[in-house]
Amino acid sequence: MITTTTTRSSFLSVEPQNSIPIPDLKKGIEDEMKGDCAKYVNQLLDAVAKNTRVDRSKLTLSDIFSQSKLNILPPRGRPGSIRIGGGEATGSISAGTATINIYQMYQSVFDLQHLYVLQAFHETIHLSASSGAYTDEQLANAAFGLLTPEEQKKNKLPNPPANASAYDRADAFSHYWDGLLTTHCK
Amino acid sequence: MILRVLFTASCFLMLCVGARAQEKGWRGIVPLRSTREDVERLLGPSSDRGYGVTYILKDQSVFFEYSSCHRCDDKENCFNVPEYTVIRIAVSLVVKPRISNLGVDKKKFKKERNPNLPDYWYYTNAEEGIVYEVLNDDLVMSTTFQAALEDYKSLKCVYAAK
Repeated sequence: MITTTTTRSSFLSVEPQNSIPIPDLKKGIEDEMKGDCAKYVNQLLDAVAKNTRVDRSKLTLSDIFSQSKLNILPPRGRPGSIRIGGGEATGSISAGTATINIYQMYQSVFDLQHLYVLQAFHETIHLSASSGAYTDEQLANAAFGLLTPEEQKKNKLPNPPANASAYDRADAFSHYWDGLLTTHCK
Repeated sequence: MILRVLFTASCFLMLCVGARAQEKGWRGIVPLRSTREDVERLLGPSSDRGYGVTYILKDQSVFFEYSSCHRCDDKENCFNVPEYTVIRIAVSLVVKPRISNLGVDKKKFKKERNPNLPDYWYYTNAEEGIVYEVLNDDLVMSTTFQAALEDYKSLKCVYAAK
């Protein structure tokens, strides 16, 4: 069941008309999971399950999204800036605690509504583990393994130093697999 | 007699250092030091000729990332090592151990929450290049062996700013 929570504080901190409206995310995910995108995502989830020794959930992505609690949180960043909202995934689908947090984006000259779908899609892939979640680093490693050697040369994995902050480390790997995902899923 | 004592002492020291060196990395495979040949000698040849190879063992999976650069021959993100040198190793056990059972010296590790997955924590020992991804501050979901900070600094290729 989708629970959309738009907190009171979101409306206290930003005028509703300044944030981009949220589209039908479940339909958006179902529309993504077709053709080449569906094939790629299934390959990615099979690979990450093999690498991590954590089985993937038997549920479809659409069902995982439906069974996750969805929180739409106020935009981050300053008004007037184009801000990629971003998101987080917590909990586990098997424990019934899966939660997706999506940060709203400010209105801009571009149509960024579809980015909400891609964000929800990204977080749902994290929650596709039968327990816990697949991390960005695990998904990046799996995505790298699906490439041909020539593609790997052109799409090297990030190599943050071991003293990188958690933010830099997580983001480096997140952007990596997300970039490869969006070559298959528009 | 003194020479004999010195010889014995130096042998003991060499054994200790050797043993300590073997403890680094995963089963003696050390990022930026070991090669694909070393991995294949340990685990057998892989039919995958790419730069990211996973070995599925009985109790764990081990992912090796090899350098696709030969030294600094490519324009970005290379280390000054030969092609097919191990860059990073990610290990996931079938039975996930508890961080408290690993005997980790927490003074040597920095603990930070993963901002994208708030249930996950990083335990990082930068000096040795070890990163644990820990679920709910309890279960170790994966262990990454990467370049020790000193090696990283000395071997990371430096490029002119774009």
